[in-house]
Amino acid sequence: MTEPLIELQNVSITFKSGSALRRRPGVQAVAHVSMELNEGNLVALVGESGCGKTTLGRLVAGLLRPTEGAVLYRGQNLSTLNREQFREYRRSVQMVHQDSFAALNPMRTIFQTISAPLQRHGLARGRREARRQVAELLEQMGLTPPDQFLDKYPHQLSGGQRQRVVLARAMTVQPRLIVADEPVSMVDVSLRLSLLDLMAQMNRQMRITFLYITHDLSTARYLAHAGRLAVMYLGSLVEYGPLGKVLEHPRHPYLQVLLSAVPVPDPKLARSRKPLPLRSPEMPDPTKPPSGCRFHPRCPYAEEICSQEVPHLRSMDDRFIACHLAERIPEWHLL
Amino acid sequence: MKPESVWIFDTERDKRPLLSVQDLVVEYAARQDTVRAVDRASLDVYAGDWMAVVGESGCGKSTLAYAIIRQVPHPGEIKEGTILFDGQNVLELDRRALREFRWKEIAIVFQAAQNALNPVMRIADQMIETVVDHESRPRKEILVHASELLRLVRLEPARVLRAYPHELSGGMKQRVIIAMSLLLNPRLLILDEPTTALDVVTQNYILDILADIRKKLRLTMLLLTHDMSIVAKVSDRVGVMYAGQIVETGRAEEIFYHPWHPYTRGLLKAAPSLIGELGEKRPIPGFPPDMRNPPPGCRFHPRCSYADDRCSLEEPSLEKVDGRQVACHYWQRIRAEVDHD
Repeated sequence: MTEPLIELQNVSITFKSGSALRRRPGVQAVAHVSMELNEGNLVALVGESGCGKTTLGRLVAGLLRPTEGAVLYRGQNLSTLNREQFREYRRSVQMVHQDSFAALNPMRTIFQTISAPLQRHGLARGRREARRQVAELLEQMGLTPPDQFLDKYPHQLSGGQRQRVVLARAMTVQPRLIVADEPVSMVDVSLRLSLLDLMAQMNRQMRITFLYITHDLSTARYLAHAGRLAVMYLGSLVEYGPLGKVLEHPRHPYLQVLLSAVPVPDPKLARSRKPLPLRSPEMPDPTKPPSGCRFHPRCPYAEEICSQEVPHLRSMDDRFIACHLAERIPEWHLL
Repeated sequence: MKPESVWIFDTERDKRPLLSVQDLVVEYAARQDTVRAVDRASLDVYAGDWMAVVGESGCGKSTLAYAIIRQVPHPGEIKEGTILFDGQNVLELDRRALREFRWKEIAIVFQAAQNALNPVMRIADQMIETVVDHESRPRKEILVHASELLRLVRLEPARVLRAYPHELSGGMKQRVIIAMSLLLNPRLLILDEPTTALDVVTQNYILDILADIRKKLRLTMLLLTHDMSIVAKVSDRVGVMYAGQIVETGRAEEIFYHPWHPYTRGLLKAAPSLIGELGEKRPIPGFPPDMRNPPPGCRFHPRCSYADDRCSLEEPSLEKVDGRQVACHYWQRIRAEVDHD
């Protein structure tokens, strides 16, 4: 068996707060997450804001170090990599952020932006060769004809076009994994699908692994319908499995609540759907996470054990789930 | 049946528009070029209705909202058109009348309004200040009213009135803002992307609260959003906005199940959803127009699969058909196709 591209082993990270003299309780943004990303996977990581999904993405991309547990790249613990190996890993894992405008230098043309890494890594010799390669990348990213884009500045492009430029720049170093954090949430509705299509195509044709981080279950379904879905709540992974099956038959009470609240673009359906009730509408303070299962104060099914013991992610049928009562949670369907 | 529900669901023809925007033009003058953010947009909002205007970023919907209360930010300016509220021309109001008009007739909840709360003032004081700015009323009376409104948005007045904004969650702050907007008993509440920065669970909760408020206070609502799913959940009527113009209006069921304008059709097909066939989803080709230099003829023609020469030369007008409105030369062809599907 081949090794997973990335493996998270019981990873936690705590952000300290306060000053050195007056320590305040830190925030455990990610708590005991274990997860594998295999070459060619398409994984959607969803959760509400503040659930730790971006932090998890940054751990995967090597931009943060875990306070507990280990991140493995092709079987090797990141903390044991030497400088050369770490550089190679950082090259293989690229990150794409929500705000494409902030990600691009406004003073540089698209050609300058994309050719910089090519020249730095010695992947293109001479300006003409660099221009040819950049044009080819732009074309692959659907920015055609490339001549129309090469000498433009970021502000001259639309959000969707800029995000394609960001993807093209990430592609210059031939990454194996792209961590895409809300890449379409600032892009116009009419253009979101084509950007998601592009990522799906990159995954299919170039076998680039994608970790798609989003709060939006509808775009997660669109992009990763053949991939997997990971659901986070307050720093923990609560359910993880094949996206189609997980959405069709969600088992974790939190995912059921979340899905019942997602609006659908159909008036009759939208008005007939009833959101599942929560015991409390408010998210708890992340500096004082609840004991046991972090969802228990809001969970409609919580029992005594839920406030006492942390549920671990365990395998159940076709997926993984972190819920003491998983076997007894009533079935719930989208429609 | 209670009389109020009869009032809300009155038949179409007995209704008159509470707000009527006709051929409104709003321009922003930049150094070199002028941007027409709203370009002869027309829209009727009927009393008791929940109207939604849906469109993508940059289509002019926020500018439209600002224009309705005559608060277009500098360097924007209302150039042409009329805005009638209950028969009164808003564009002719003098300063004093305008002050009365805002908050008392129309209140507005802006996008990410949570951040508009004053961080160093308790909620109670902010609510009192809002009222006192407009009319003299004893503190005690204002607080009683404020408490009622806070309960209406499902907040505990005893706790919230004493709180500073940082002590409240984003969803709670948004509910405070909604309660504040109602302090002067407006007849029309404009909601500009009221739930965009919030999570779906909170979003759903707030939409429920808004629906509840509308019924209890007999409010008319105008919601501006980019999200078709939210429109589907709450609105009675829908206006679709593209490149500064209203291109289609109709009842929610008509817009969602029988769209006539190719852009409306495109938006629906492009909206990712948890339900329905993924294979039927399609992006709209091309990009939204550069508003400094919009295309001639129909604004949508460069992205439209039905477009021909006529569309690039001749601008379609907003035609009234069976209580709906549509601005497309070929809407009949599309109607036939949609009905066939």
